[in-house]
Amino acid sequence: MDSTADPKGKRPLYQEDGLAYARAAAAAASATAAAAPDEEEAKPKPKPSSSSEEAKPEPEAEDQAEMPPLVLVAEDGVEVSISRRAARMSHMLRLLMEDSCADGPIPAPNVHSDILDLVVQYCEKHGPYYDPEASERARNPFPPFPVELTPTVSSIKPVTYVDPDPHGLKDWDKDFISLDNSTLFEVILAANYLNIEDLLDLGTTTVADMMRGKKPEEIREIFEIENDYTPEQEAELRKENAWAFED
Amino acid sequence: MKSPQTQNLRAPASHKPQTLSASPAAGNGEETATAAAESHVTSDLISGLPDDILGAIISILPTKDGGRTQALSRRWRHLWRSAPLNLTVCSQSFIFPNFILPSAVSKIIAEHPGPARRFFFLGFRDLYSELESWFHSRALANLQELTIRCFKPPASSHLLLPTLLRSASTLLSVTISHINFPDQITPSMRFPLLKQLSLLSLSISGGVFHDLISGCHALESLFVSEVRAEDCLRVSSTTLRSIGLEGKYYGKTELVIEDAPRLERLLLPPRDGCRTIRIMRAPKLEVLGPFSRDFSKIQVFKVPTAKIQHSHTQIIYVLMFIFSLSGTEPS
Repeated sequence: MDSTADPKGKRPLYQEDGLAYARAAAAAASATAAAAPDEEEAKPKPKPSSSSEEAKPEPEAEDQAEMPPLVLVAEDGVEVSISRRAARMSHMLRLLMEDSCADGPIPAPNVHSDILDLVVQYCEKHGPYYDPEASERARNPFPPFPVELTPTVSSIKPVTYVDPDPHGLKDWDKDFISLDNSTLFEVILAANYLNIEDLLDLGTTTVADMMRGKKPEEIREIFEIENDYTPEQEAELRKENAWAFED
Repeated sequence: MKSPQTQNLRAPASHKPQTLSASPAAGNGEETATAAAESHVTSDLISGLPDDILGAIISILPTKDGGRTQALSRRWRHLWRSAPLNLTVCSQSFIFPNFILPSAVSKIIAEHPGPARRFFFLGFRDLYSELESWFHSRALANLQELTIRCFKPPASSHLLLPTLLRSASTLLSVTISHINFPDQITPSMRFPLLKQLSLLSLSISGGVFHDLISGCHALESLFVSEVRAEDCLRVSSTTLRSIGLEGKYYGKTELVIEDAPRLERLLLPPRDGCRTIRIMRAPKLEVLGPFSRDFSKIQVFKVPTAKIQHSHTQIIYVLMFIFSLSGTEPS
């Protein structure tokens, strides 16, 4: 996958097939489920047309909050609902919502319901503050600006302290992502499938943090990686890449 | 650490990306029994992740750590070369042991098929001819993140800078220190994708600064520290959301926010001494500061202008802040 696939260039991970599959499956599912009564309203009411006339940049976010939540179906058949506001964090779900393919159950065939619950929890927590257009991801925090923007007020507010994390999301993320390894990897895979960039970043940086500064022997132990190099092969590898192994 | 026997383990990864069926819950024993015919049970879950996810993880690691992943197992051998390169270089090894020394850079960029995603460089001695030769190679042609902090200014930096910025069309984030800007902006110094710009301890003319900022149509965040300009620093940007300004020793240059319709934050360090900032037009400005409690003077002028078009939603004002801090700790 070439890096131009993702304009931000961060990671070319999004699988195009996943979206097409989800669209087709969602369309098929909603066609068959059309007759079945829903626990939510039978049909989302047509949105008031005033929303399209508004000049404000994000009327869509407010509309979404009024529409019924999406229903994701995990691989074990369990349904997990996610509010539309939270679902915006998933690029895949966002596209489905824009194409109005999100009314019926949406399959997440590779994701177990426990994992899906975790992912939805993350999205519900971050959803209210999510701005798809902002890209201030503190991956390399320099300068250390606050990532979150305070809600709009109409006057300048001189401050004596600028809180770098006004909603406590960093601490929450730290607790959230302290999972055992296998759950962590499942969450990463689910975030990849649903294309939730922030959660994928969180997962991959967490794994990278576990690997940083460690020798290969130590990393193998943490992740139970089996060393299938012969001693000669490993010695040659270390010699070829001496810059990586010298201290 | 999880215990192997309760996990429903997936097939070991082949060396190409695949979607893996994730079944962590115990209970599908029969499925894995049949699948186990073609796979062997392993507790090495991380190696089961697809190549591109592992590549993304490797691409976050400092260069030495990234290179060392090749030695983890044969499955990992090729990943470092196929992941986007994160080149982290420091000329003093004791500061960042996982960074590589400048002497290793040529070999790595010659052998790594590229592309290089990030170049992060801290130089404590004169390495400018090396920098120039590295940046003439194809490997560093499409960077997304560039940080060059040289703590020994070069002799003729205005010639160096255009070379260092040749990835302009792909750069998302740039941090430069101690390398002065040329007097004229070069045509290649257009940054269509740049979101974050930090300029530290350098000099730049007001005109070049203004053109540089205005020419970035995606810029969201600007950080300026100890920057000298003989005239004032003027900012006009339709996209800029946040500005940080620092200038304790040099860089007391006046800052003028000429036109910043999306600017929301103007951040200043608490003990900055005397500074003049003029805000001509920043209708969305919300956060200004932080200030020490002991600032002595703020003057605010609100000037009605005949050009107000939407008087109920836009306030156009001219503000002059002059504050001198008495140096006690802000609470």
